[in-house]
Amino acid sequence: MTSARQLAYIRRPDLNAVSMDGELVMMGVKQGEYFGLRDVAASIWTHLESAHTVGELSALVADEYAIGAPDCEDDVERFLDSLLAKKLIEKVD
Amino acid sequence: MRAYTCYGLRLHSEIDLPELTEVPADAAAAPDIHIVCGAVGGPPPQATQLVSGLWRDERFCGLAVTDVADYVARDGAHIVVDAAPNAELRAVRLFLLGTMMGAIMMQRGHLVLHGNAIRIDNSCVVVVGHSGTGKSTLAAEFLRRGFDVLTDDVVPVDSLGRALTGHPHIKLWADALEGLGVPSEGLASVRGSVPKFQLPIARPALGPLPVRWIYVLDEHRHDNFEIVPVSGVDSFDVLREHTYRKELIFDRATGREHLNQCAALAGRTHIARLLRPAATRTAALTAEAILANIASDSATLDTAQSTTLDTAKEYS
Repeated sequence: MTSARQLAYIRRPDLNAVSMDGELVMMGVKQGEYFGLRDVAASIWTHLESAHTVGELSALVADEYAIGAPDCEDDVERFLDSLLAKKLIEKVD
Repeated sequence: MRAYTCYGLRLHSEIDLPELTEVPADAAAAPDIHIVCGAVGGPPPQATQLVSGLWRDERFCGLAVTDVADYVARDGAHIVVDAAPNAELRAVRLFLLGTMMGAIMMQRGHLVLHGNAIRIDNSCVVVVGHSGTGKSTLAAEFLRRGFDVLTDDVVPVDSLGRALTGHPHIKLWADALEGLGVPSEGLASVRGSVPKFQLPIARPALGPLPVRWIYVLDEHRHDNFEIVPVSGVDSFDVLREHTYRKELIFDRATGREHLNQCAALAGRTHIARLLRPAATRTAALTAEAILANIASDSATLDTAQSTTLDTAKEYS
């Protein structure tokens, strides 16, 4: 089975993110563009230091927030799509 | 050539700068900053054009003000001033000591905030806010109450999170002076017929002081004064918004440095929004709200310290 969920994602190199009170602020690709990540989003970003699939990330989130992994897969995928659109992460084969 | 001190630096200037504190000329003392008169060309082709006559590249920052002067700051150590014929010297100094010194402090690796710094014991509070929120009037109110004003308008913060002492003046509009009961007669206006004046401030020699609190002057629709702590992502928004001439953060390298500076400062300070009713946001009430908030914070800290001391006593 080769669904989109088999793909792994990883942070793009050269992105600068700093931690502020447990939340993350990162510079975008465009000059003067910044993104703030809180809670689950910050946690997922932290995991994306190495390549992970939607399934793996969902399992990590489910574990941390004590929820069922299938419940959050759609949300995780949507979040990854938004990170892709902002060119903050990339797909890995 | 005269020698001055500002932000803890020694300045040698070909232009007289009465706004600064003059120090004895000493041929042996190497200046940190050289201010010279000379020809200033336009921006180099690789420079990034920013707003209103401002440009920057890796080493240089330039400003062109019509009928006043062209300026270039280089490597955090040199400023060249090319004054227009018949330019008013006060106006030439205004942009030199404002934007250009702000750019120099950025080039020297400081986070430069737009606001003022007031000494509270051995540390300081920084008050930021947009134009017209009453920052300088508030600084004058603190002065009236006997506090030392470290710096007004430009607040360079060093890598240890300390605000540097600026020039001993607060720029105030005529109506603000009137509100404080200070006559504007005898005070120098900042520029031509602009009704804004340089109010000299007396203070002891002060070294850099750690910034412990940052308040953002703001308004809300309610009748009370309210202080809302800011943390995390929001504290970056506040520091970025109130960075002095933030357009000078112009590329990835400066953006990265600035983001790291903001994160470091946010980690050392309490940041809060001071929400005030538009109708009664007087400088006196604003100062009282800030001092009360600082006092409640200090009381917490003092209690913690005395507890530690008591514990130490038990063991001795």
